[in-house]
Amino acid sequence: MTSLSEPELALGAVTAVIAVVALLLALLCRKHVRRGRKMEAALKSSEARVLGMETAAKSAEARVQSAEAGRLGAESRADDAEARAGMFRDEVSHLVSVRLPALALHLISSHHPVPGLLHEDAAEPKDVELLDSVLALVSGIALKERRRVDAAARAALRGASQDSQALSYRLQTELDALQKEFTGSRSLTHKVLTADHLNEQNLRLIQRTAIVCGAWPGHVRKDTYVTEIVTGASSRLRGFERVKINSRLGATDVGIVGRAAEPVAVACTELMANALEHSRDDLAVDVSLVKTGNGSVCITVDDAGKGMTPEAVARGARLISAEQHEVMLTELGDPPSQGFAAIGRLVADHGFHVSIDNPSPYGGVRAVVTIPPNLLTSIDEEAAPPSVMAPLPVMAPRADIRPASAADDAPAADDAAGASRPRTPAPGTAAELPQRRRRVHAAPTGEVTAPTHRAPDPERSRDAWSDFQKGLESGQNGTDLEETQ
Amino acid sequence: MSRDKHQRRLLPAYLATGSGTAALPSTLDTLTALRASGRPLASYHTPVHRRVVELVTDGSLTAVEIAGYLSLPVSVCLMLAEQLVSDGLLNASVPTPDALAPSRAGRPSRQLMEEVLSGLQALRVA
Repeated sequence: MTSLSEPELALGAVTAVIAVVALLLALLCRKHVRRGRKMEAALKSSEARVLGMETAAKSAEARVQSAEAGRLGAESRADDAEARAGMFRDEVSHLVSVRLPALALHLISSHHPVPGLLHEDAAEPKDVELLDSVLALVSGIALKERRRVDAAARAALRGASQDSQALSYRLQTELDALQKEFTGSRSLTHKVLTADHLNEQNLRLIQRTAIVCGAWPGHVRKDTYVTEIVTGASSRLRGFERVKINSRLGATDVGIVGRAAEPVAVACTELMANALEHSRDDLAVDVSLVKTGNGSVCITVDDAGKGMTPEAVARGARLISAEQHEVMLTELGDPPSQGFAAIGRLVADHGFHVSIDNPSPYGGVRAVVTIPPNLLTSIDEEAAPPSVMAPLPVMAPRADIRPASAADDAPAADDAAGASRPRTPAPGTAAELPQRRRRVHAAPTGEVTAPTHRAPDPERSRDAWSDFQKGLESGQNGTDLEETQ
Repeated sequence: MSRDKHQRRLLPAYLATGSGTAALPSTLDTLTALRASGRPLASYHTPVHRRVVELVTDGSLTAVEIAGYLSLPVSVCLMLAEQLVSDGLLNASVPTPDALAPSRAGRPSRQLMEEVLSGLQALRVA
């Protein structure tokens, strides 16, 4: 090996070096490849990270946007709530300053209106309910309290009236006994009668107040003649002479059952009192009693006064209608119209009927008390004759009927005699009851002849028509002249 | 007036006389005989005035009797009678029993004279 030449050695060394370099290069290359790969992976991952960040950024952006929107929404909601709270405040102040005072007035007198909400359309249903419930509550409390106070006032007034009424009845008994037991001087009798009348008027006022306050009339009568009840009713008033009672009941035995007797008397008294009060002192008040076809008895009270205003009639009619059972003193006005209120209570309790909404033929008020058949009875006149102070019945209104032709002459002559007769009953017939006579104006039968058939007369009709035409023309000319003038 | 003592009065007596009338002086006695004069009643007379006049149209009655017939207190009936007498509707006369009324000749009746005679005889016997 020694033989190897130097060039060879050198060549070998170069080869080895090359090999080493190649190796090294190869190694280096591998390292680079590895690093390249690593870098590539890193690159890739970084790319992915960038993507992730991008999406994150996007979602963050969206969040920001939604947050923004939320903020805006919240802001608008806050404004809205503010506005609504303001409106509610307005409504509440409107309630306090306008609606509640109006309600107070409305409770006093129902024709005052209670205004509604300020913003009827914009208000929430719950708010409306709430605000209205305040009104309902306040009016409920006020009404309840009013009823309580009114009931207390009525109870006090009723107690006082009933005590006073009882005393007045005792006084009445004493005065009655005084009249019956003594026949002293006439001036004493006169004074006792005056005292009796004053006491009776007082009794009527007290009894009326007691009835308005819920008391019963004070005593029960037996079955009583209608005429007696009406006459007795008039006796309780000042100026009873002005009350002219005409009984056209036909029968004298018509009575009212005991339980309704005093109530009807009180109602009649009040109606007559109104009639007397609202007509002049020199005018009579006409009271007539009629039995109607359906069996009820009507007591009609007519006055020739000024009449009532429609409002007063409506108010009175409301008070006397049987619908209103409880009468409030606060509703009676000032001065309190107790009469109608008392009648209303009696009507509700006893089932007769009163109407005041008909005008009287004399221009005033016509009040009618209707007593249904179930409150009527017939009284035995032998056992209990009617008082001499009660009016006797005159004839009932009947249609004038032409009598049968055969009996035509004789009654007509009778009637003519009757017409010339004085109004006082002739001696001999005095004790008898008034007899029904045919009306006087039905008597002259000769004047009213039945229409007979006439033969047509052409000249007569021509004359009549020409007269008619002339009259028509002259009438028309007259108006024309007037118009031109 | 009232049919039952226990029932409260409905028709007071002043209805008969009228409340506005002033008191007249007492001229009549409870036994004064009253008779209608035949004059007609005026419109201011009450139905009771009419009944009183009707009662005494056919013959005399005393005030007490009238009160009894009409169920009125005697005091009130006297007042009514005085009103009617002053109005000229009633004639009042001194109370004399019917038997004492003079006959046509202006002398006491035969019946009365006989009764007086029998009374005197009865006295003599005693």
